[in-house]
Amino acid sequence: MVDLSPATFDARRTIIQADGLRKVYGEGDAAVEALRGVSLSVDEGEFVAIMGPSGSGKSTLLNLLGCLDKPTSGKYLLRGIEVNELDDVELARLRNEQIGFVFQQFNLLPRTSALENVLLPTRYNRKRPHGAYRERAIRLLEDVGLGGRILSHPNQLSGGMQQRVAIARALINDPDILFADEPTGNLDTKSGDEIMAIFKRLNEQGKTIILITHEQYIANQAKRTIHMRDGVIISDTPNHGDDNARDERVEEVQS
Amino acid sequence: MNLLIHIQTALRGIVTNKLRAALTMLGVAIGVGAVIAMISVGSGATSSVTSRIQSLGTNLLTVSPGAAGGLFGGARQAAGTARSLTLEDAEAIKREIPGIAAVSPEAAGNAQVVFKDSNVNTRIYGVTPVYENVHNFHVEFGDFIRDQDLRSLSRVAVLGKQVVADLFGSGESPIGQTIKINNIPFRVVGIMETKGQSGFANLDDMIFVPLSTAQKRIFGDMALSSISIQVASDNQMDTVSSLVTSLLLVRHRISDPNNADFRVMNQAELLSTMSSVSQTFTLFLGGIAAVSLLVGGIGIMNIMLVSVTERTREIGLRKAVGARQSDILWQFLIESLTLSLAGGAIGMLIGVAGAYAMSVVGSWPFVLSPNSVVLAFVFSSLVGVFFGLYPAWRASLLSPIEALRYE
Repeated sequence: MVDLSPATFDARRTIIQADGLRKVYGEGDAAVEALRGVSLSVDEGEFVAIMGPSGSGKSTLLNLLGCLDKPTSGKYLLRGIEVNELDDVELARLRNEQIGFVFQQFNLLPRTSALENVLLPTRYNRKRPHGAYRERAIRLLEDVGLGGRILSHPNQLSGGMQQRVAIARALINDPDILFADEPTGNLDTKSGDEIMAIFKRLNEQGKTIILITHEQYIANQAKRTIHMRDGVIISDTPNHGDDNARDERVEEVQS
Repeated sequence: MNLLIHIQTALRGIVTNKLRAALTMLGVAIGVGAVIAMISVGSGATSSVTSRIQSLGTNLLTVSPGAAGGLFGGARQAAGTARSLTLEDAEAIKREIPGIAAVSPEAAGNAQVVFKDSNVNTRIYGVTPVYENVHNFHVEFGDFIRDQDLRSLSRVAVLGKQVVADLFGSGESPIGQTIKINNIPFRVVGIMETKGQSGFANLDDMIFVPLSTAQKRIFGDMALSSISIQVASDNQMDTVSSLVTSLLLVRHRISDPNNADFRVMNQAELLSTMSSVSQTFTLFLGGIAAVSLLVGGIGIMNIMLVSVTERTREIGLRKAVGARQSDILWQFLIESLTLSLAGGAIGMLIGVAGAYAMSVVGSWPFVLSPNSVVLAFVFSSLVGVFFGLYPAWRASLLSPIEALRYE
């Protein structure tokens, strides 16, 4: 596959290299092939949007890339590491240190303060004691505009605020890549815009971001758009910075 | 270092959801408490029943007078009315038959008893000092009848608790006071322990006086109403019983045993009843323990399975942000261990307190077997930890995304 993105002409390193990823759910007659051989490469610093109808396999792909699930077959290199060959301990370390994942459902621990939620990944980080991250967690919450709500529990926060806590959590161990599975899917337009503004800023600071969205205007804010259908990539195109043309655009894909 | 983080994570998990933790602990506590209380109540009731049976005396032969008349064609009267037993019979039994520990001749009758302006009609027992041991019925305050009382026909009396209550109320100490039995003054020298109801007789509603005094001063009659024989060992009951029968037949010059003017009652039957009762109770207790362990265990299993399975998504999230399988297992091991042990400790208190309260209400002895407490505690903790860990282990085997999608 030829990557047309301008970024590839820089001396940037490839961070994600997937080759022929297949994922089959179930067995025998009930087997469903969610991914039918996806190959993809992403360089450091890219901002990729994956689009496609429900059942197109985009979430499955993101979960494989984010190391939350294992492919049935195919090869996946993350920073040159063959992920399929890692054991539980090495995978846990990878998820902890290199990957930040933002879910559509936020997935915050209930009855737990925003600060503690942000600190959750550091409990499983064996490099430094848990307490050493406190100041960083507070700064991250301030960065996403929640400096005044660090002790609020999820049920005291709006959806947009909860998603911002989740983003701060994804950033606490300073990972290279952020994955986001429809991060704005449960939010109103204004909250969604705020979330996207954060992602854009993070990308400008050098984070590689791969997100899934249903909505064209969200995808337009990325630098590269991948379309999927029936478990394969049908198009992979760079965007040309026209992310202001939002509402006018007809949504290409409806679910 | 790592363990410290695991403990901190687990405790935070508990503190975060106090209601869930409290309900889980309650489940364990009720399981443990029920087992301990049931076993304790069961063994208390058992020991109460067996001790009551034992207090009747299992190695006791009772000789009582037969029916009066009948021998020469006169009307045969009710059993026990013959005036055939004498003190000499009792002495002969004691002297001539081997294997006897003690012989207690007894003369009983009703009499009017007066103290100041209190007045009761109660049963008077003329007894000898061996009565206490033969009937396993002891004096609690003061003295029982002594040998010298018998020789000197002393007018001394030992009262049952009921008589004390009827005559003296609660204010005065009866010992040293003088009561009148059929208008004869007696000095109170002792008070019997509480014995309770036995068959139709209230064993506390009695007055004991020296046998000789009763015969000569109260009843004016030398006949005995019964002779109680304490046999040295249980397995000699039948031998001693037949020896007593033949001795008394000879002494009373009766050739046909069918015409005997006395009866010898053997309590060997009581003995076999006793052992079958205690066997039944042992089974009963075992059954109670098994059923309550099962019920308690199932309760604990349910609450643990439900509360941990409900957290499958939390486990998925923890794995997604970098928890290893071992991190998850440590957290849930420590959580379920803490809840099981704390719940178990509360359950022990509840169980012991409940068993004690029931023993007071049921007026049986409070029996707490350490084995049952340890068994309940250990079993419940194992069940709690297993069913706290098992769903967590299953969830930790899932990929993070499968666990996160768990409904």
